[in-house]
Amino acid sequence: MIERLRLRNFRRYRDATLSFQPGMNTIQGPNNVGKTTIFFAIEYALFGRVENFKTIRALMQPGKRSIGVELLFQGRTGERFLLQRIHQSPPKSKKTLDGQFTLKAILDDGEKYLLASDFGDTEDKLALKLQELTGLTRRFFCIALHMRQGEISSILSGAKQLDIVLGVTAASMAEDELRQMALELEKESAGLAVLQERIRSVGNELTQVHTELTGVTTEQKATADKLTALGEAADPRQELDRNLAPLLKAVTAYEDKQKQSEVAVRRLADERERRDEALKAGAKEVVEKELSALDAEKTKRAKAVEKSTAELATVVAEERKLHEQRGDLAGRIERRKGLPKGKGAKCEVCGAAIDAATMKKELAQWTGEIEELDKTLAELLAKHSSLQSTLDTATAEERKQFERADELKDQLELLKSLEEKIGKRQAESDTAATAVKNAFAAVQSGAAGVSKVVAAAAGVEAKWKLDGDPAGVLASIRETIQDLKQAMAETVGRRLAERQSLADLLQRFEVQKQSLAKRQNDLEREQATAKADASSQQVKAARAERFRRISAGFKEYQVQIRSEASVKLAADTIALHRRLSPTDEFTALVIDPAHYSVQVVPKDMDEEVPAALYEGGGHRLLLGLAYRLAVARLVDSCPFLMLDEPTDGLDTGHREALLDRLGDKELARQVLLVTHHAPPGAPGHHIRMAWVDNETVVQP
Amino acid sequence: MASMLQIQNLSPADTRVAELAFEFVQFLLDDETNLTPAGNMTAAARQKFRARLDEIVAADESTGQPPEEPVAVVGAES
Repeated sequence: MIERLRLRNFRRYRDATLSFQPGMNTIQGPNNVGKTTIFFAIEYALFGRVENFKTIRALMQPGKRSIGVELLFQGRTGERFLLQRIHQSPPKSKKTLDGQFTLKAILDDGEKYLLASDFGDTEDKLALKLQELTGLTRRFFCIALHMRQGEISSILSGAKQLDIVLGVTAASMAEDELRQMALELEKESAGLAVLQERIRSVGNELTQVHTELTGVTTEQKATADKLTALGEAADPRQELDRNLAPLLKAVTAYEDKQKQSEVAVRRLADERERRDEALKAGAKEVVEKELSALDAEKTKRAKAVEKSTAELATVVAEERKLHEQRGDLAGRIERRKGLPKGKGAKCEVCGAAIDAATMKKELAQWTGEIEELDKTLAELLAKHSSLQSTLDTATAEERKQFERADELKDQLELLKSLEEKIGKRQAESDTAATAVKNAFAAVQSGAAGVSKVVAAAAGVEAKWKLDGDPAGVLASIRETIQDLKQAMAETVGRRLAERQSLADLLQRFEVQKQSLAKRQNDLEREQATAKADASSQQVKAARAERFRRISAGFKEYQVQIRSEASVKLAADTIALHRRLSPTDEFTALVIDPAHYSVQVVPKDMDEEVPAALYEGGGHRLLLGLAYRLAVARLVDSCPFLMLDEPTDGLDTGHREALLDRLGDKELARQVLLVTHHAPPGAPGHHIRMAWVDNETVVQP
Repeated sequence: MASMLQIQNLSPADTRVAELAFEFVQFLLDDETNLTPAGNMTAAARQKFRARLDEIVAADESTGQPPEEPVAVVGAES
């Protein structure tokens, strides 16, 4: 229901506001004052356009740059809304118009914006919102609510728009579109059966691969356990080496001791040989005896030498004395011989004069004395030589004896030293022999100990002989060790070969497992992809099926709505006609479901005739009005009716009856009626308009 | 207007989808710009209808409830 309408620059209105009431609202005024414009303004406000007006500018007051309408109305449930719509020319533009709208809810405590073009809301959203609030669509509005002057009865010959208003067109289009969409979806899901077969096939293969993978994993684990068991045991050769190490050490020690003993024995023998050799130069007793003899001889010779030395000293002293005497004589002679001859010769000692005879005599004497002296000296010299020779011989012998004594002492020293060395070597030899004995005992003991350990740890028996000569024992030990190692090497070789075989097997299992796992992943991926595709195609197939069902429903609905609507429209039209018209003119009224044209059976005829041809103008108008009201009732509630000169062509009786009956609120909650024929004092709200100063004004 | 729609032999879910689809086609038909001169839906209008139908079906399939507001309504006209 419309409460208020404000128009700005809308055709003849510069700025006018009209208020409406529930029930009948009669709009009156002279021709061309702008009564019908009110209906255009309402249509403009609700839908942004006006039928038969190609442009908004055609609705605008000449010379103005904007047009606007404000509509206050009640919705289906009684809430109030304010719809504002304007169109205006942008600056510097004469042709284009920009439109804007705002829809607000009027609340007790103010307003609330619902939609606004300024907020980006579109005309489509506004149309949907208004349909929700009022139940109005533009086509419904045009065919059933807005009854234009002179066009009311045109509906009697049929209205293609009714297909749209009643939903037949919508059902048809929905049917076509849904069928088309179903077809497209069916094409898209055509591979579903193949996909499902593929999923089943992949599933079977996946199960097989999984089984194989489980088997390989089990075998791999068993092999790994075996390998672990083999790997956990230490290398028996190392164990054997560890066990044999002390024995080998003892053997080595024995051999070292043996060598040391041999060296000691050899050294002892050498020393003994050296002593025996030394004994050849004289045994100790012999040497000592000779030494004693040498000492006695030495004492004896010392005495002789002492005597000879004393004699020699006497001889030497005598010789010196004689030599001095001879020298004196010789000097005296020389000096006499050197004295001057004749008188004047003087003694060189006493200075007394010496004559030649004296001198001669004395020289002869002295020369005799010298000769005597020389004889004595010769004798002394012979004696001296003899003594000297004796002393020299004694000295030489003594030297020889000293040398011999030294040799004898050296021999004694050598013998003593050799005896000491022999004693030492003997001790060393004895010690070494003891050590050898001990080492051999250690070897025997070690071998006996090793036998048990080796037998326990390596599982092989040591078959060595520990009794008998050491060389045999050692040879037996060495041979046995060699045998043990050989046996162990064979055991270890077998074990290593087994281990390598298991490792190779494990590797093959791993490769096989990886290959199976990869195949499993590939299959799972393929299965997932196929399932996703199948799921998508199933959805599409389900949608296609659904769209086909709904499409079929719409097809059925078209037939149904046509037949049902035509029957109901016919019944309502004849009932409404009887309420609007004071005269009952038909016995029956039929609406053709194909074209919605009205067929009537007049009372004076027995057959159907087209209402548009048979009836007179006034009756056609009433019948058309009834038909349009029936359409409004059929489609939805009728919030208001806009009737523009619905009484043209009616006689006074029918006109008054119509105007009187239009106020019936069962027809519509609100009627906006434009007419020149409202009787004075007619009930309802009256709006009068006048043309004042080149504009339409609403008179109070 | 949708209350008129009473299609037989449809499940409640299909009926709900049909009602909303019908309502949207009705809305499209209310504007001549969505129709060709021959009276069929334009390609743009068909696109809108399909988008809206997808919304309706998707919402119905996921929640069993229709969407409250048609997001598919696009394009401004002022």
